[in-house]
Amino acid sequence: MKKIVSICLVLVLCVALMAGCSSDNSGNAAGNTTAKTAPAVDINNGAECKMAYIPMGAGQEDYPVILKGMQEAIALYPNVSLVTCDPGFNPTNQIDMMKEFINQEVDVIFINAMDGNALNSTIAEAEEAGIVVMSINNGVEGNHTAHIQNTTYDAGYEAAKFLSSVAPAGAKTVILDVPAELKATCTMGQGFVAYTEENAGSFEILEEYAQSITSIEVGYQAASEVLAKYDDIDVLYCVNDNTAIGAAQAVAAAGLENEGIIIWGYSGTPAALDAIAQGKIYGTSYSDPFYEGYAAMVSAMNFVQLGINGKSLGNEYYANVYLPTLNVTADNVYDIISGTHWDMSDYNY
Amino acid sequence: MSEELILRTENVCKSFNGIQVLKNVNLEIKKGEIHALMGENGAGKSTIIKIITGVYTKDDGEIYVDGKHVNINSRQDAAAAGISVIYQELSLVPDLTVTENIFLGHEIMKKGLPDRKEMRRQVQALIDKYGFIIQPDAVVASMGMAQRQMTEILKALSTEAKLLIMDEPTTSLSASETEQLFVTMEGLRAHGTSILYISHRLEEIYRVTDRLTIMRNGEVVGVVDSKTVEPDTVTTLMIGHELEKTGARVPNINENHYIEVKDLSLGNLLHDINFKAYSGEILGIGGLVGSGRTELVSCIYGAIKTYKGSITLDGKPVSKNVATNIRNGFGMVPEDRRTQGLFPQLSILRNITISSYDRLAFGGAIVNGKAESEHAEKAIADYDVRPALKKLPVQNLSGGNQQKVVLGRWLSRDVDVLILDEPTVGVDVGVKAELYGYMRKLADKGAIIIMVSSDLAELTDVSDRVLVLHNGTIFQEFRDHSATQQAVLLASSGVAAKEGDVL
Amino acid sequence: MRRPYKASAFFNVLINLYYELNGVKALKISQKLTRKLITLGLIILLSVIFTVTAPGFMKLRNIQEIFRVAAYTGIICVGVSFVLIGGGIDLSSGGIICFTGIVACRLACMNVPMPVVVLVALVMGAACGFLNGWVITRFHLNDFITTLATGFVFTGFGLVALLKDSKGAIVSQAIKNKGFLLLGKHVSGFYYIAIAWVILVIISWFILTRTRYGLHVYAMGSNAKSSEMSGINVNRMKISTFTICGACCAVGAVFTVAYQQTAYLSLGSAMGFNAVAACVVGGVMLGGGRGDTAGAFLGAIFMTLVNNGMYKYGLDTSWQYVFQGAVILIAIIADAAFGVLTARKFRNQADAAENSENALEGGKTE
Repeated sequence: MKKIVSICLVLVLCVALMAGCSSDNSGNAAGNTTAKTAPAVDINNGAECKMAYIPMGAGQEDYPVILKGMQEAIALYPNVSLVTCDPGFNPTNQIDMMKEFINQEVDVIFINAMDGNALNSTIAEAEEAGIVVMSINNGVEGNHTAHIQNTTYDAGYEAAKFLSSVAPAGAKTVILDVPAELKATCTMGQGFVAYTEENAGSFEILEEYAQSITSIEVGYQAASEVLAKYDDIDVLYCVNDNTAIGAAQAVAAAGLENEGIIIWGYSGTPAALDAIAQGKIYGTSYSDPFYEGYAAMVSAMNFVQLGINGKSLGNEYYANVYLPTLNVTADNVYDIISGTHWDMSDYNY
Repeated sequence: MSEELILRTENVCKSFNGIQVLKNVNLEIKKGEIHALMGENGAGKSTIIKIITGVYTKDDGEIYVDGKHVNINSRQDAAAAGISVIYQELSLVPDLTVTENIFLGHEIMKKGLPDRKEMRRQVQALIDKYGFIIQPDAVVASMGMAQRQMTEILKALSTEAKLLIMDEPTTSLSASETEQLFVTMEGLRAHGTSILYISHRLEEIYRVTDRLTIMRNGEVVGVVDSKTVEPDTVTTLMIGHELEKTGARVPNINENHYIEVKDLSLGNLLHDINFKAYSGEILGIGGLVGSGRTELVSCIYGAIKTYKGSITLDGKPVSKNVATNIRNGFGMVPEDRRTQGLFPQLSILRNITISSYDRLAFGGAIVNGKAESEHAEKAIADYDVRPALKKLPVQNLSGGNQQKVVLGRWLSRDVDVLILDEPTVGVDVGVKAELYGYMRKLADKGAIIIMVSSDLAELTDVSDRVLVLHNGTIFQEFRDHSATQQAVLLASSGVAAKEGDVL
Repeated sequence: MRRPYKASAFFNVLINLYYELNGVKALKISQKLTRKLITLGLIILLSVIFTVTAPGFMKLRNIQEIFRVAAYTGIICVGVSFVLIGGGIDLSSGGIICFTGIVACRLACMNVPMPVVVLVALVMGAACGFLNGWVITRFHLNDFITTLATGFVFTGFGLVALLKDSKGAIVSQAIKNKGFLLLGKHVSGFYYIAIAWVILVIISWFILTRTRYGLHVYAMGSNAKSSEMSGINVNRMKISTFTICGACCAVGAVFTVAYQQTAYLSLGSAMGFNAVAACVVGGVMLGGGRGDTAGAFLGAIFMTLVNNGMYKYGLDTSWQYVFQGAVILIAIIADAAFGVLTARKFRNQADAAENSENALEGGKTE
């Protein structure tokens, strides 16, 4: 009997909640499938505009820099607000948060997707609701308004091209690659291989080593392993700066600092720039995430001002923006350090 | 041996909830003697010890240590006065060494770090002084029980204890380990340390102690020289005047319905046990803790499956599966109801019905709420469980009522074979009588009842026949209410009395 | 050093007040219901706070969303509460979700009909649970550490089961199987996963409280030794609770994969601990013997509300975890204080009843 009472209480609560919402006409039924066109929001004339940025997690290294870029772009627009959140590197959380922002009726959602497919239906729902969805760095399969990232394939290709001029011909190379499930989106290893295949004799690739995660520790282990396995490695091409730093530590630990092993990274984090300046790693494919954030924000504001998004354009328009990377070595590293938006305050420059 | 007293209590009194458990207890222990303390369960031994060691505070009376009046209000006070208890459940940390254990909590520090060298030196000195056979660096986990006890003793000595209290220290020791312990104790005595020794075993008392204080019903009833006293005198003092048996029941024994145990052996706990328990009688099983009583009945119930020999019910073998046995009408009230009998968080109702869902559920699966309630309500009323609130979690009941619930679980399903292991521990006198009444009624209905008990009065009065176990064998059988408390007590200690030996 | 009691003084006051106001009547309300009222009270409190302070909260769409998200945790909680009530703990649910979810995704992508996919996932989930139970009972292992380990194993199976290209790179698959995707849809705003959740809660509540099996689960959780002495096959029971838990994980996984239209390696990550936390918040006692799935239902809603509130406020990300943890901690402290207090109340009640009856009896006999 008491059980029944308690269940009734729960039901009453639910009904009360529903009743409370029924008068709320702005709420869409979750099943609303009729396409809506994005309303034009006149940002330039002070119309309120709400945006949301969903990173992979608060621990994502370039997240604060990207955010800084976005904030910079809207600094002159007090009517534009930007909120962010922490999905903790979990696609399920990213979905829940995206749903939340749809409910909050934001105008733009930026997302660093954890999984290419997991967000498809939610992104479609957001686009249906007239929201401009922009993916940053990590691609998503589903149709949305635009995608912005730094090149990966080209970065690998360009790094190989650059290194072929400094490394001996047929340099023995090991690629310390991303974990298997990220290979589809992080293609710098493939770019490097492509250059090698196009230019026979430039590099001899001994192994494409897939790491479990990209971190200094794992990079250290992986590099130690390959250094023990192969003699005379000339080049360690690392698809991530942390991997490169770990690899540099492994080289030092193996007593091979003076063997001239070339270690190359990707993205140009403060630690990597410092390591280049110290001569611990040779170079990296540098990019400033600030510009990614800035570019994404400027184009998002344009979409909103025009009142268009991927859906309203009939899912035919799908902008892919690739920002180039810059090869940074000891020659130009100080220029970069003085101009970068990465937080270099932990290092003395 | 000096005649000075290390400990003297003067008219110590203690009551719990208005029941006086200690009446003017005067205990005197001389310097350098091993003093034994004996008494039946509930005689007040453990209460007086808890007062001496500061676990309880006395209501009245004085305690003198070394002739000086002391106030003992906490364990720390007792330790400061030089009184130390060697606990039954050893309080050592198994992964540490002897030295580390001894200095645990009061390490000798040097520059903020433990001074291992100095500690080891002190332990070695103690070992040398008393002639113990242990290594200061041995890890406790690798040592035998006797050596662990030595470590405990060393721990006490390291805090300069003048009086060691040992409560049944030999229960977990083998014969040779016991002998080792006795040698240790004699060594301590030679160095002037006093020991208060509590044991049920007469042979140990004779072997090692100097004097013996006997308690009964919260009073000291005699102090004797344990080297010369007769066993009969001791048991008489312990039991007091043998009570007239009130209305001994004439059991209506049905010889065609019985449980037979044949050549039952279990490791080194039980050896070649043979007996029959008949329908209509209450068979008592006596003996000391550790004599194999509990194991014997667990074998019959099917809770222990690794025995050799046969157990049959009316000639058909008894299953080694508890569930099957319960279906066939078995029931058991286990020794420790808290850990083996009750479901503390569950209601009284569920505690009663838990074994009866073969009849209280539709198709044996879906609970019949009405039948379940009726069953439990009837049991609560029949066996007078208080409070009669079937939804109350059973952990909130008093010990006696909890036991009624466990008993009710079986009685309410008209068990055919009921095994009771210490059915009245922690149960007050009034409820005890009730429980006996239910047991007798069940026996009259033709059930086979086997009752294990340490309570001598219970064994001799309630059971129609008593088997006394000693070291895993049946030492003596008392037929037709011939058991007296004294005879059972002697038999438990391995001292044969003639069958039917009267006071 | 009795600080813990001081910390719960606040709840002491609250609950005592409750008893004072309701007098004798309050004592007659069963402990189980009172416990649920606490969780329910917390839910209502949070709802009120969010309604007032977060404008989007009371939108129908948001409520539907809360139920959808809560259903995922909630379905796992149903299974986990079986294990918890039976005195065990299962942290491998995340691993089982990952494994069964990925397998379901692979099968759905091969256009296997929906019922077959669901059946296969269910059988595999149950098998994983059975394995947990079997390993624990066969080798007399500790549940906590065993399921922590098997959780990794199941996640590893998931990785093995994922589709990979010729170079070994994982390929993210989008499910196009219409029949299967139906599971992720909704009827007039009620997601199928939420409907399945409610049905599961009702069924499991019935099993736990109204069947012999359920009572034996409670008995085992309350005291395993006593259960053995009462003729309950504890090992078999334990394996069965883990198997049920595994099957529930598979149910949750299938619906979630259908909703997300794909499966990935981090599917179900952190769910092992989250589900246990939700159960505990809902009054399922760690250590067994107390609680039921109706409580776990409320616990799952509570946890989802807390998360949803986090998103609403757009709280500085670094404080989100602190806030979440603190709220759960408060719920658990309330639970502990409640346990202490109800035990005391029952004790007094028992004493009072016993004494008054004794007095009556005394009058009669003397």
